[in-house]
Amino acid sequence: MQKLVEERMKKQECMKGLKGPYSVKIADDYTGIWRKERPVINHELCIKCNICAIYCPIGAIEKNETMDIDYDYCKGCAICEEVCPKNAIELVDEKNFEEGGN
Amino acid sequence: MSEMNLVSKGMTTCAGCPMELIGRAAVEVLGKNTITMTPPSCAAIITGNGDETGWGIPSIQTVLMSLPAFASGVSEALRVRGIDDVTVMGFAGDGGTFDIGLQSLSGAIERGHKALFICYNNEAYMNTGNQRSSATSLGAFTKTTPTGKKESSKNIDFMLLHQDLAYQATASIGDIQDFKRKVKKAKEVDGPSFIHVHAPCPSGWYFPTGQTIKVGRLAIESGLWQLWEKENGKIKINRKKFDLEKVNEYLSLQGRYKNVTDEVIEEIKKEVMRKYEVLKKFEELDFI
Amino acid sequence: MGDILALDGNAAIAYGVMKSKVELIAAYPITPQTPVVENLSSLIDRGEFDCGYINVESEHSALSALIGASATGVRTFTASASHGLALMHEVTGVASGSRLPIVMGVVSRALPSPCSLWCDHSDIMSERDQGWIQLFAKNPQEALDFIMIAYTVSEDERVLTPTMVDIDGFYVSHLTEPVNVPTDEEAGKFIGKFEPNNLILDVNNPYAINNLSSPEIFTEYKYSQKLGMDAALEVIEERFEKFNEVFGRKYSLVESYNTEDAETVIVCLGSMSGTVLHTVNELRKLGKKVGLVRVVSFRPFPKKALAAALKGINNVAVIDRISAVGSMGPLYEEVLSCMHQTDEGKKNVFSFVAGLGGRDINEKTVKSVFEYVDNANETGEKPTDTIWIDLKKE
Repeated sequence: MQKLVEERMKKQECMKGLKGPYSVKIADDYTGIWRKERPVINHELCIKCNICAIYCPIGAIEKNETMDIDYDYCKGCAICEEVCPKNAIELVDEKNFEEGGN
Repeated sequence: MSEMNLVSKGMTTCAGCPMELIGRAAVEVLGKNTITMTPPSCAAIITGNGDETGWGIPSIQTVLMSLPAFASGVSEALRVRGIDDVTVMGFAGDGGTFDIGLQSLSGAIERGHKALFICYNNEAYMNTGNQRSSATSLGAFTKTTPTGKKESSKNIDFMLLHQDLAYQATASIGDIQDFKRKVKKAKEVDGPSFIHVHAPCPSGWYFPTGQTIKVGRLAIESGLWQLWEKENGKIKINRKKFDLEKVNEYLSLQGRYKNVTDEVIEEIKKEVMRKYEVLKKFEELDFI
Repeated sequence: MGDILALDGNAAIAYGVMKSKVELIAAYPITPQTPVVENLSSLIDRGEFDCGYINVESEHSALSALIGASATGVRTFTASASHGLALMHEVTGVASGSRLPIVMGVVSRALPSPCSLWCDHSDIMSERDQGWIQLFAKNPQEALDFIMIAYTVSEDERVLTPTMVDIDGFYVSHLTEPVNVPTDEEAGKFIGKFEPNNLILDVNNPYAINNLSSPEIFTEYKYSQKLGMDAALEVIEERFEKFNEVFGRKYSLVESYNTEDAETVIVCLGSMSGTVLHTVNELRKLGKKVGLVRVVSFRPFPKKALAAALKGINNVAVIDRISAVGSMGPLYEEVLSCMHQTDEGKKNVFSFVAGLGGRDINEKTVKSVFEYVDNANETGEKPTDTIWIDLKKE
């Protein structure tokens, strides 16, 4: 669960019962299912410059020990692949990651 | 460990959406003490639908014509309540800024309310399916200019130069760090600010989703989109070097210019130089 | 006991706003409302009234700014008329649907075309389905009092609905009368500082207000609005009661005059009721059994109170101050629907149109209304169209 959703769920109770059109819940669509191709980072080539994370429109890339992509949400737009200065990101057909696949 | 995102990762914006990147980047700089508002537009997708919202900060959906008026009210109410550490952020597209929202924007700036108006310019009414706005560029296809727009885009930045903005800037998703720097500056001024962000839209400009940043960069590198800012009456052009020939590459990447003629391309290039010359002259002035 | 000041309707509204401890005003001038905004600016400038003021660049922006402000937790006010109110139309529904307790003074002026500066109810009637409470004041005293009452009703957690307080353009707005203006202490007994109790833009409790609503949930939001409006009937009466306790002025949803044994009664809104009352007195001297029922709250429409007021009365002449082209007058339709639902259907109800574009509804006009009803009774005629009683005959 993304952190924002977790944080909001803690507060939700005290924001109940108000009158009028208001939305407390955080939209949390698993847009990962939109993907036809998924970006895969080659951690050997990656220099952790963070540019992919900065330019990811949905904020799905995080700098941890390695650069990690949250595939629950990644739409496969391929911006990260285009901006990576080291060509360390490759787009791989999603079929390769289905169950029983490669 | 990165900070908690204040904008959800899971929203139904288009893949490669520049508007989302701009909204996310702005909120990252402004932090949790921000109230945002969106008109019915692409940005409204972040504000959400049903009982869900993508913003982790308080937000309100306005009507298209008067987002800056809503912002004026919120800004004044915060002042009345003695709250001075909250940023009011308007997040509208080119339609709600150049066209139907122009009166309200001009009024809000004239009155000097403390608010940041961000305009993400995808050069059309995109949320309703790509109809032309006055921000649509010369020669571009939209569903209401199927043979290419006959008029140049409205120069909102030059128009607003003659209003009393505490901070004014142009920015682009082609250089998101520059945008973030400008948002930080805007946050610190006590008055209205306006940041006009170029937002190449893969869905409406017809190019592959991965090219969003590249198209934005080409616009900057070709001189078509100038990056500059105005503080204390003084204009500073952020990038003086550009290569006019890159205009061709910029146009060729986009399906909306598929049928553009050589004459129009020449006109586009002439326009780039004309605007730049005027901008350079403005930069020479001590105060504008 | 307050101060007696010579105030016109517009100034009375301004004083009402001041005594209601409003915190933010956003308004745009339009005839005949301009003295409201001028008076308010003056009171603020002189330091008598501590209130924010946004000099907006249009009425649409005025109400938009107030929606933003009210959602940020301050008590707000605006005023408009005619074209200005029409221009606000896009956002009046946003204010009521978002359950914001905004109060607006409406100084009724005819909507164009033809272009007019003078009074009729076409402007406020065009807003009748937008979900606002609508109270019609008949004189400057009521204008001041209703503003104060409006805030306490709108902000009540059972209601949470904005209110329009209507006065007739020029006839009330520019009519000077002695008005009892409450002292701050007295006003404080009736209305306190605003305590936000519903939707609010708060960085410590963030949520989105007014986003897109699907067919799955839209109806329920609207129903909740309906419940708020229904509750308003009760809350308005409660607040009228409390107002009487503090100030000694008693109001009610519907006011009757000389109706106990009346055979014909005129039902109307606003200042024309003053002329009707005077004419009723004159006709009573001649032995005519006539009376007046003035509707104070048009929204929510007080069906029970009206049915009770019209009980046993055979002829009901409704005067609408709006052209109602293509159908019948809105007040007439409300009265008819009320009669039908409360089983008071067996009456002769007539739809009169008068006073358009500021034409004075004078004693002669009122007498013609009563005469028309008498004639209709004699001939057995049952008109099915609006009767334009003050139309000039060629």
